[in-house]
Amino acid sequence: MLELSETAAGAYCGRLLAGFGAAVTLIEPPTGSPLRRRGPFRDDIPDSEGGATHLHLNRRKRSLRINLQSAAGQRLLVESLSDADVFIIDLDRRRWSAQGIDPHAISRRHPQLQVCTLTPYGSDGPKSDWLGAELTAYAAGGYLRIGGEPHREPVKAWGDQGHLQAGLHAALGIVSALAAADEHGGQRIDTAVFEAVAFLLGGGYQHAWFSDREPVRNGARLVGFGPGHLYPSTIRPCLDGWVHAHCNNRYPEAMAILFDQPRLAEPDMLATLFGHADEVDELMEPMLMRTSRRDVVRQAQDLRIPFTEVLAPSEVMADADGHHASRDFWQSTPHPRGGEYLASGPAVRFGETVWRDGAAPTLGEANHHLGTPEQRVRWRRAGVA
Amino acid sequence: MLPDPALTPYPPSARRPLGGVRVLDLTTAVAGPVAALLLGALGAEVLRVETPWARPAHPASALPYRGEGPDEPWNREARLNELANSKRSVALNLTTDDGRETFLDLVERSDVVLENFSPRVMGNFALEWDVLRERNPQIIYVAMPAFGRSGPLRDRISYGPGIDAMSGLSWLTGYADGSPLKPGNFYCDQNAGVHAAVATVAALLARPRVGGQTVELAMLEGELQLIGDAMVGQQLSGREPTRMGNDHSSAAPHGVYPAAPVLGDADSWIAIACRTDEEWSALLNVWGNESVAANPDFATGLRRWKHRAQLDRLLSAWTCDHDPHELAQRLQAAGAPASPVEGARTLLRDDQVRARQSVGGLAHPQVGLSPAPQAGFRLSATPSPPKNAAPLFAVDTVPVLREILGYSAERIAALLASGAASDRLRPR
Repeated sequence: MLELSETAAGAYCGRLLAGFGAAVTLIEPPTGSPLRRRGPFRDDIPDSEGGATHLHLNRRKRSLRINLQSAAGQRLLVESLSDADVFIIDLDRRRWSAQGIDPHAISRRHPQLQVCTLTPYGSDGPKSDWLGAELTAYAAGGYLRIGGEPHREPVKAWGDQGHLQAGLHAALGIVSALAAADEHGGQRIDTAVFEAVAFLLGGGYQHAWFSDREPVRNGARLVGFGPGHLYPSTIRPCLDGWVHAHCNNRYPEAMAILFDQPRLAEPDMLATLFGHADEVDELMEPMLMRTSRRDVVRQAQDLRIPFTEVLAPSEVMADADGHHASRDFWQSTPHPRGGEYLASGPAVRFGETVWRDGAAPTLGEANHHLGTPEQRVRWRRAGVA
Repeated sequence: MLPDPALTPYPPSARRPLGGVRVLDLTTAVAGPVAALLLGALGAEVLRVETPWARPAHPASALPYRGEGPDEPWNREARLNELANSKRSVALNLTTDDGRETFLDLVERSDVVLENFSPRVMGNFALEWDVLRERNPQIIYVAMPAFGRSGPLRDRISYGPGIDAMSGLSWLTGYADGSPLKPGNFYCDQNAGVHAAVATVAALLARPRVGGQTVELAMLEGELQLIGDAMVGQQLSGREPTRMGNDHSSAAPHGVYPAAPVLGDADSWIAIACRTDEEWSALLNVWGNESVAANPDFATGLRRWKHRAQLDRLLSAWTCDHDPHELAQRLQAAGAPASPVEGARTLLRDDQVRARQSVGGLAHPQVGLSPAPQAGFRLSATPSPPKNAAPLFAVDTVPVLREILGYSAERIAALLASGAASDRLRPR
């Protein structure tokens, strides 16, 4: 697979498929993928080989450094595609032509190639030329609106979630196209970031269609449910941080035991738990504020009530329960400047086929596989590769 | 002015990539059903195997009755209508010998078994991997436990939002001056569902080489892929990453700003994100605010980011009187990324959604035409929109026993009489 990406969308698509065993080569401009410029960096020193996003999302890929602004670079790319099964493109659509990217022409030239584009709005429709930062595509997909406090502006999920979901959807499109390749050959897989986000809204469309209502964001509580829905599903402070409080959907009355609050099992309460959300929060508070996260969760889980700790990233990695260690999840990975860091392990564990991890490539490390030594000298002098 | 909402029925497609694949779907809640509905849209025949009393007889969230024939509230439950599209419904009681044996007969004639129980449940049914494989060495068994099938937290129970909390994503999501928030309603579930669908198709691709296999998608590990940069970053810098609202780490303006009401709703916003000087200039061209343009505090990207709180206040004072759809159109035309903060109501009226049929309609016998989103991709040769609305409960039990398993009428009648199978909702 060849991956021409500059956001987390294409990068995660390639990363996931590399984990499944695909040989993924990242095509980078002479200055490197923009993801290389995203920190944090070790000791806060900017380093195109050592940015956190690059070290995470480009693992187990090769890197080809090719100047697609040049006609020779574009030819090199086209030639490279003749050996590929999949071409992933998440470049801004407005810059396609300047870099020789025309998915239809590529498909015609390589009829067995799966050509996957990832763009903010997809490749057709009246907004197909609209610009999309991750934030604006996320807003366009409707998911931003349900995040945050009702009296404040909507707030998005941390990081690149819109782009990552688009990458995930693109990966599904790619493996599906590969599954159909014997019969249908190559196809175009037209991925829209805003649609991958809009998919997350799920049942929101039912409410909108049948009642012309918009769910209102609800702080840490679930959004769009009536007073008869179960509660809690929320985040509450406790003695040393926060817990995610969630009732047992089958035995909501167990909450009365956990919090020693008989009121939580009274019929009017159980019939409309969500309608009593403020009161439920108040009833939970005394116990929560005198109890640590671990003890709250232990006591809840003993009653089969699915409370969990709200963990900071460093706490996730500290792995107090030894769970990740026992599953060998965090992978010791060489840092290009020496030393090692721990990176996330398998997204999926297959019984027979093996998830593959590896290090992120240094810029252009695979260029020595291109052409003959003479060609490489010529390309380097011409600023092509 | 936005048009009225509209739904166009999805067209049929006979060229879906997973045609000929059969999936036995034992999943509940959200994550598993999302995986199964994606596989269904991609062409797999998904048999949603439900217990005979699975659906609440009087759900609080029943959609309005708009159909013909009997009115059965359990067939109008909103969440089910969302999550069961592109599937068939078969009711089996797996705790009975006959129900379990019927299921194993289906395993022999299927390609995938998909479940998202906690790890002990398949054992309780005596339907572990070894049993399934013995009946069908080519079967792909996809499990979606919360924390995995091994490890100290194996038997901990949690729904998706509780896993958001344990992954670090809730801790990172929220206002810079606020508490942790959920990243969405069922974000972890949706993420796990799509990951499981990708992994299932990958396992189908590998099957000619390796035969059947297990596929384990621990929901927590699926979500940790999405914040791996935070994990790497805190190791490199020695600092805990922080909540940052809608801010960008280096670009400004980058936020959500108030806008004039839409469809009578004052909860109206526009997202604007300027990543480069060119995009900032484009914004200024539309804004036309000369004092902002001349302010040295906003002259470079770094300065704008440093003074972003002040910039956000000024921008908000401008955007609040504008219709977000009109303003986004003008900003985009000038070259500045912007979008109204859409919601389901406005998406059903959106011209891009209509042009790409991002949300189309499925005809349900009891609720009429109802909306369902497509996955975020279009396949040019094998179009794969959602196939059918959520099936009525157990409507496919008898056809499946007869046509797929070839059971006789007498055998089917006996299974129905004993309760091992059911063609209707039964009390527990």
